Amino acid sequence: MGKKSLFNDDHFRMQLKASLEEVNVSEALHEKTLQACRDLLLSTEVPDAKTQTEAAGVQIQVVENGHNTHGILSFAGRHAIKLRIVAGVAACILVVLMVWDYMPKMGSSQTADFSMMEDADNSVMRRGTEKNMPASAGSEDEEAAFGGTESEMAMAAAQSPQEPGNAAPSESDPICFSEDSDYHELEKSENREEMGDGTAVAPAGEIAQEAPLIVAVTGTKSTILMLSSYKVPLTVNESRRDNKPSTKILNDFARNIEEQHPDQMVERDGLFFAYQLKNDFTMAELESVQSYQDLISERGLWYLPVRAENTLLLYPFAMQTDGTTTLGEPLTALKDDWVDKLSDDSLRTNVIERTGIKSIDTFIIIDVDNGLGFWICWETDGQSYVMPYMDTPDVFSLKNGEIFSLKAVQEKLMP
Amino acid sequence: MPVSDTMAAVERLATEYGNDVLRLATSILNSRELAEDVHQETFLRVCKAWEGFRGDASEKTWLIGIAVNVCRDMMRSAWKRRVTVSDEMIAAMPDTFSNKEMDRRMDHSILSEALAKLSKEQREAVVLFYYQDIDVKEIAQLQKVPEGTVKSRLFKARGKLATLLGGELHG
Repeated sequence: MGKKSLFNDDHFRMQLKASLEEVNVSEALHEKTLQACRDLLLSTEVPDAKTQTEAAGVQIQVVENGHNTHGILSFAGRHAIKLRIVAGVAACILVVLMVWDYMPKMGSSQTADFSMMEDADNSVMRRGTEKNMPASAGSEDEEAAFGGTESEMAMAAAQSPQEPGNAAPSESDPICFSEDSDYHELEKSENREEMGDGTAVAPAGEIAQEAPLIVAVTGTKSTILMLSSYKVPLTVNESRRDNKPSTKILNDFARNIEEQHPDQMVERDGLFFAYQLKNDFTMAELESVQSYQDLISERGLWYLPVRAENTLLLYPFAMQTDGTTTLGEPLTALKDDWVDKLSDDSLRTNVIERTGIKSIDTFIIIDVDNGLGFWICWETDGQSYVMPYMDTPDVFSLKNGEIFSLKAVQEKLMP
Repeated sequence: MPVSDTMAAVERLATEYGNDVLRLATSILNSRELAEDVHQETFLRVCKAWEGFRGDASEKTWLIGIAVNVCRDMMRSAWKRRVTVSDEMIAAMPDTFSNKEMDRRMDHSILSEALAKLSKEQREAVVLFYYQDIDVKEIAQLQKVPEGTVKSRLFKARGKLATLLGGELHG
């Protein structure tokens, strides 16, 4: 038994409340807030045809089905450059993600183990995506996926994918999509092949949709999510398979980081991931380019964001035809003040630089729990993208075949 | 939902919980200026989200959840934002305080400093638990972590606060 505490719950509670007693909303602040709310609500109204023809001063009518005028979309319209304000999704986004196919070496298609597999036993799952697939309806499944522990994640990963269906927005997901929004869902395919290193690869032509590709890799100590942030037609064929990084390659790569940059404390316990910007790349091209940006815009390049004590490093790496990897210098070293750098403009710039896209129409950042992980979503030319920017275990709460609509993610992460 | 209905709800919430939001933000951000920004931003988000409020949680919990998220956003965007003390602010300060007032302000200052030294997750948990009287289960939902994590955060926070405030934990 220790000494009697000078700190106890009741006393502290009382102390805390007393200290805040004088913190009150002034009349001015109250009015200012309400006025801002009124302005917001009025500005988001979309009068219907009847209202539009009526003279000013007529009672304003709300268009019930004016999806784009509600929620994040309208909000974003007014705060386009504010990240945290979920920007617009003007045409409604429905992006998707996640996935997880099956895990060939795990003995069961219904069971996933995130703490498994040495190199040779790793799996890379990838799935094509397909337009006009059903929206994720939010739901319990997603909740489990985002809120789960690692073991829950593993269990969740075994869930079966959703059924294809109508592309129309569901009732439970009303603000995500406009009528002409693309729906993307990871395509369920039973027709897979497996590479010699345990990498499961979709057969040629399977991934041929203009859609994001997500590759999830599980390893002994790592869960790696690779996400193609490019919406380019992806065609998997024999000649390209060797250019796909397997878990072994990624683990080699991680070891390279540790060897070549011993000062960086690489966290490998499920805390790094790579995302693919393009899927075709040669070393010669890497060496010949003048800048990484050129490379990224023209050729494939893999990045491996690594967190090392408040520092986010983005390592580019390339694979040579003999299967070896070459590690680039970290492109970005966001030091202690990385949070500062996660401003609207810098993030936007980063995404543009890293992806080679020309512009970003709408931009969204979604906080994951403790501020260390983000999903960045953006829309360009009517296409929607989502990618993890930093990593937390929660990011890896994947489910087999799970689809995460933007709205569903937002609902879970930004009430 | 008609705008008037939404506005009425927002007005009611602002009246009923406005102080809670402001105090929560003040505790977390340790800045009245930022807290006022959070206050406004929170209710703007309420405007947009009200239609989708399903009543799964209490209004207060839902609102506090939004405020917490706004605080997080604010911390990111305003991280290390320098607070400049203007001449006007200095001029507005009284030259002297009564001893009692000085003690009270000192206590407040010590408490604020102690809170500021907690991690933001711990600070959130502490403020939600001790000030907002939200139970661990609901905090877990707000912070999107398991209840055990909240308990752990509170436990660690108590330990730090005990040290910072000059007490010791029961052993």
